Amino acid sequence: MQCPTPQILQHLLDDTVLADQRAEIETHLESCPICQQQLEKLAAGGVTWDKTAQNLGEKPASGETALTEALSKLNDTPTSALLTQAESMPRPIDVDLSFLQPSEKPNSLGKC
Amino acid sequence: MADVPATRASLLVRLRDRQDEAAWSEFVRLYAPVVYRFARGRGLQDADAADLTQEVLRSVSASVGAFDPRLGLFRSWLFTLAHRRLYDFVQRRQHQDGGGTVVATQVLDAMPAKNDQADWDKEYERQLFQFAAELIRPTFTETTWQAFHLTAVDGQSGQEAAQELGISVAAVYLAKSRVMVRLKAEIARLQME
Repeated sequence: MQCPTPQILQHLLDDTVLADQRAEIETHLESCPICQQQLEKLAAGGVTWDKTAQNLGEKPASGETALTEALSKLNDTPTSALLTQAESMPRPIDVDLSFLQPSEKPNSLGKC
Repeated sequence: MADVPATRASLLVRLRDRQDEAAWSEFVRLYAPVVYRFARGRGLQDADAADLTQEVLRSVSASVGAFDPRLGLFRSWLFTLAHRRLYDFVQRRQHQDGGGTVVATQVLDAMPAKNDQADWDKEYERQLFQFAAELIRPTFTETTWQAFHLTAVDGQSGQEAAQELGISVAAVYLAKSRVMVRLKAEIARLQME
């Protein structure tokens, strides 16, 4: 079998390829590195594959117990309760932060 | 990192509705680990980083209505907020400890020297991928997910993964590519402007 067109590979990816073509294409895909690469290319560009490997390959550091507990607590707290807590908590700085932008200088906290 | 995705406006709009529990849950699950790990990276211990994370998220709940997307990215706005809260938090601890613990002093000393925005963006991107993966994983069979993970993340060849999972090489490539399509779509959904 000749290499299927990218359109046919796209149909295979989308699971919309004709039933009688499927077996033939999959047999071809089994041993054709060009079509294997083409399928990967249709799914995502090279940068995305690299970023996926990098970002999913890194395991979170151990000892995040308090994060897990905090997430559980926050998830269990209705928004209304969360907002009530927020409104009653001490505010070290003005809560209107719309004027803040990230600092361009490494030794500054922000700019306005 | 110029290509770090921006936060979708629709989520930000939904956060202004105090009754939208689903939006808040998604927001917390996406951003809490970013804030927490940023704080840990600045020297805070587990419990302190979690306290700071809650403080930052509560501040967001009180002030998200003031965020104006025309002035910049939400991610950058949150970074500034987290950075200031971290500084306040450490200073408060220093004050409570009567002059400052060694750890607090080290955190304050380290803050200006760190490449904070780049670290924040990197942590955000990592969390975005991991959160999207967590959301889509239950929609695939375990074999399909493993075919994706072994090849796309662990770097195995299609043949190695096929042998390990007892499926054809073609099935590995199909599984890997189909998961990637979904992962991309989920990331796009989370970051949509």
